[in-house]
Amino acid sequence: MDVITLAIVLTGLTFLFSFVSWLALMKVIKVRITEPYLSGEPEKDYSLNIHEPSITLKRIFGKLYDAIYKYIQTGYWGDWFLLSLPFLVVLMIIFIIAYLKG
Amino acid sequence: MMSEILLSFIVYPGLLFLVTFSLITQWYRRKIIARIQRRVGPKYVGPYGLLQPFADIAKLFRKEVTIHKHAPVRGLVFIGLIGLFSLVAAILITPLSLTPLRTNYDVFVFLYLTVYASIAILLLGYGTHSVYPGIGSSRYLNLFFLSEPVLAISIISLVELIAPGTYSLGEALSRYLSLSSNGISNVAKIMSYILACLSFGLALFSKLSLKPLDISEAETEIAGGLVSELSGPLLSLYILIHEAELTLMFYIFSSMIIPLPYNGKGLPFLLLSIAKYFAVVGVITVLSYSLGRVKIDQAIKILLRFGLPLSLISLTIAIML
Repeated sequence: MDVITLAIVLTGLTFLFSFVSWLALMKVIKVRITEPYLSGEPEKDYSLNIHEPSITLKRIFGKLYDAIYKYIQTGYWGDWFLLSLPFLVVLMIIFIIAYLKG
Repeated sequence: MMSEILLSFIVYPGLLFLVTFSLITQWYRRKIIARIQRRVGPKYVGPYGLLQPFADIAKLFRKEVTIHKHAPVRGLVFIGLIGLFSLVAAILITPLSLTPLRTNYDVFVFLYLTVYASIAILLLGYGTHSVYPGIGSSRYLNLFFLSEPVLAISIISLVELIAPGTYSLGEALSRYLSLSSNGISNVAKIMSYILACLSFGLALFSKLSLKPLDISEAETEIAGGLVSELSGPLLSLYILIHEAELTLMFYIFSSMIIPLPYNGKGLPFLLLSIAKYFAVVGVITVLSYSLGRVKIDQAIKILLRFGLPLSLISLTIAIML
């Protein structure tokens, strides 16, 4: 089994078992919904329509942007460059390994 | 072949084994932590409280999920399950599996699968639509950006040192560090090995949210952070992902940092491996609970100034040898 097949088989098994377990779990899980505590702000800001993929994606990327831009504890874009640097290094290492192996 | 893989995935060393072993490890860690804090720890369920973690998980699964009305509960459960099953898939690459799915470059598949678990933990926090889990997730994301590369580079360099040229984690875990070459090459190999182990250990504290790098779960500051809004089955899924991740990483770490003097097969090897595993878990738990939590910027500096350079130096030496 080569590495690509291995990755596909294991990812496939992960998603397959997750889906089957999810179907089984959703039948037995009980959910109690709580109202948001609002101090004056309109409730529509909290609405998330998961049936509309475009809105969902927009909200997800919005949240990601918020996470990167607003919640970052160190404050500057320069710090984010430093944080992304390790990933660039990993990519470079994979490139070097692939190059050396021909 | 497929039936063997399915059996491995569900029973051994897959879901049943991983969950059982993870919860036994949790009991062991809880006993040690209790001893440090002059408490008794798990006591009532099973002999010496051994079944307490199982009872906790069973109880949580029976409870209802209390959650914000805009939180996507179905999505969160699915994400949690993906996180758990990705770790189950990752363990099939290791020699624990009766039919190990090893091949060249499988270390990259292992690293890719374990990232799912971290992302699942991150999204479980974000998805609850609350401030404290949001801050906790943000901090987790900050550390994730650093701990994952450090961990990946350390594991790749250890694999390259133990099983040169294969990039196979399964192969590396069933061998030991061979010092066949002489002189300067040998010294360089040992140096690289020590540096990789150090950076691996450092990244482990961050990835597994262990003190002092567990700022994403600060109880008094952000009310538990990531997990503060999780309840019932969602909380139990989080616990299972966290414990399974911890067990898997401790197993890899203990197998690599203390190489046994021979290639392993049979009962003595198994017993020695288990002893090694629990010894490493014990030492890391004592070390972890003896240290205070550091701030997020300090944690980032620790990983950036020590973890990343050490792992890079180690990998450079390993590739050049």
